[in-house]
Amino acid sequence: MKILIVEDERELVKSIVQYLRHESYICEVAYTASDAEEKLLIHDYDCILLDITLPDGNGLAILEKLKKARKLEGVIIISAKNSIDDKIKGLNLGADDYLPKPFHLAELGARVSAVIRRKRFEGNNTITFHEITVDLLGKTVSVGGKVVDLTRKEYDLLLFVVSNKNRVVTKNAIAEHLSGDDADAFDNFDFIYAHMKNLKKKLMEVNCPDYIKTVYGLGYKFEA
Amino acid sequence: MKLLTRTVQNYVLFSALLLIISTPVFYFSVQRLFVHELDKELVSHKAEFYQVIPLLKTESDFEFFRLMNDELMLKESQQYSREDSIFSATLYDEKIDDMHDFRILLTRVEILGKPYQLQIRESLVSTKDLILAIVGIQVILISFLLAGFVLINRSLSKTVWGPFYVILGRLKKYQIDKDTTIELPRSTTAEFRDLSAAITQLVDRNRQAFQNQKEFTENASHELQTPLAICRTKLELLAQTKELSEQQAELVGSLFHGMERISRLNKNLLLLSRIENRQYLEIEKIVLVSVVNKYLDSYQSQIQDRRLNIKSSVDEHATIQANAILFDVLISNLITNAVRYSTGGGTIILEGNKDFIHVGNSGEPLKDPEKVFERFHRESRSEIGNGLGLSIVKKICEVKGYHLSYYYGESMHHFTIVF
Repeated sequence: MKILIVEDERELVKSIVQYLRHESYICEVAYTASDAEEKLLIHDYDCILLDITLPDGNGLAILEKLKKARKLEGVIIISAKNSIDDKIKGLNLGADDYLPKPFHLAELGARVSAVIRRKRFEGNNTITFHEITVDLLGKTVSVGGKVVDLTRKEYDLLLFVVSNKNRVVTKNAIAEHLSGDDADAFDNFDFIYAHMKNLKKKLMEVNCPDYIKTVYGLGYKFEA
Repeated sequence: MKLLTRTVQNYVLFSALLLIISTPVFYFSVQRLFVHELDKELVSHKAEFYQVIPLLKTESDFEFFRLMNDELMLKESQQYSREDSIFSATLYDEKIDDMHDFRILLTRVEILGKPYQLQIRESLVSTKDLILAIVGIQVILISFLLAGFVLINRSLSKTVWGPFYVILGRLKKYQIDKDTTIELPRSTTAEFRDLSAAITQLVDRNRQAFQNQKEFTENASHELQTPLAICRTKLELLAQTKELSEQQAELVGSLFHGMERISRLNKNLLLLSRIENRQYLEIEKIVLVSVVNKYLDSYQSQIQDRRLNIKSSVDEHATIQANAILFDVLISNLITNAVRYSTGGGTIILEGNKDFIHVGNSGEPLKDPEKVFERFHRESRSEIGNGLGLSIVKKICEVKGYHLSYYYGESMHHFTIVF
């Protein structure tokens, strides 16, 4: 699966590439708008991470060109411009998602995998990991064919760690993912611990191995 | 005290003083002049009398003369004193049948070889009448003077002081964060022209300083965004390192946590300056209860954690015309604040309709209630927030013209916003 990262901040690009590499994604990078346009002419991508503010042009212009060329790959706008204008314009032009900077890499990982799933597996929208099957449309989880009764938060939590499998997901990233932007304002992650405990318990009840490891002081990791 | 009252007051005081001082001065000088004139008259009477004396040849002439001039009193006197004496005295006046003041001249004359004492007298105006007359005139004069002064001042304050009041009005209305420049009237009076110029200069300098401060905050927080984002992502990558020991993982966790706090602080500062710059203009219809429920739902875990009792009675049909982003921030900050600062097991009250929203939470009274909306103000350093949440609420209310108030009652903090 090929991803194009259009972003001028090199350090950030390095981080994104390094993080996404785990998922066997192939990342290509464009630091400028013209560079991006050139790459888009030659290749097709499964997902494009598009920064709005680029040194030689506006990222939205690229989006417009993509729309005209009917190559609206799953575009995720990543923008420091936290303005609603960009969001509306971007989504109106056909972008799949909008992620304001600064973001957690885990959040980006989850969004990228969601976009790719939508593109690749239309109609058959499930994720399978060993005996665990996540039905994205029905928002249900089953283990070895048995449906596990999860709350919405538990489902979101599982999907989030599965989307970032084999990587440590920090408590801050989980809190923000579950409770929105201001969740970490409470500086208290006890609720994550509670949700996680319940999720693990419910999975254990249907004889699912404990894939979710606690990384002390940091967060959790979903691994086989 | 108004300028007019103050000047009039001073004038009244001064006039009263003048009245008190000038009345005796007037009295004595008028009386002196009067007496002086009377004395001159008495002397001339005496001179006339002296002219008559040689004409009196016989006793009968003298008798006749005495009869004809009965105001002259002649007494035989043996006392020998050539000196005339003039004095005032209160004597019985048979004409008015009362006591009366007189000016009297006593002299010695020799008529037909016999010495006589001659007394000539002239009636004096009574002291009381004189004082009354003078005071009366003075009072009338001064009241005319004052009336004139008040009238002149009043018309002056309308014409001459007019520009001053206009300047004052403009200054009162001026808001450094809203108005661009202050428009002051041009006056022909040099002082007001100077005042206008000085004020314009002061306001311009202040505006510049304010602008610089605003720009600095915005630029600084804007520029901090990228390095902060990089640090955060690098820490996230560091967390992925395979050989991370438990101790290192905890260190990375702490670093990450600190980083989150800086990022949040920075985000809020940026938000504040964006609100100040009025970047959120799009207005749409917002269902109040859905925003409230969205955040109550978001913080469900924290609410359960702290065993908080939520009493929400928000009008389900109430809609508000507002900017969606700002309104979200407003409600989320109010609810975050309530959830965060409620005493464990306490109560949160949420009320609202299309005109207002009221959020109350149980808690200890504040040490500094008037500072509750101040930037970076926290009741104690150990608290978790960054002290920006409520100042953002205040800023949004300022920009959108909402009325925000806080009070403490029934062991609860109450925040009310009237739209």
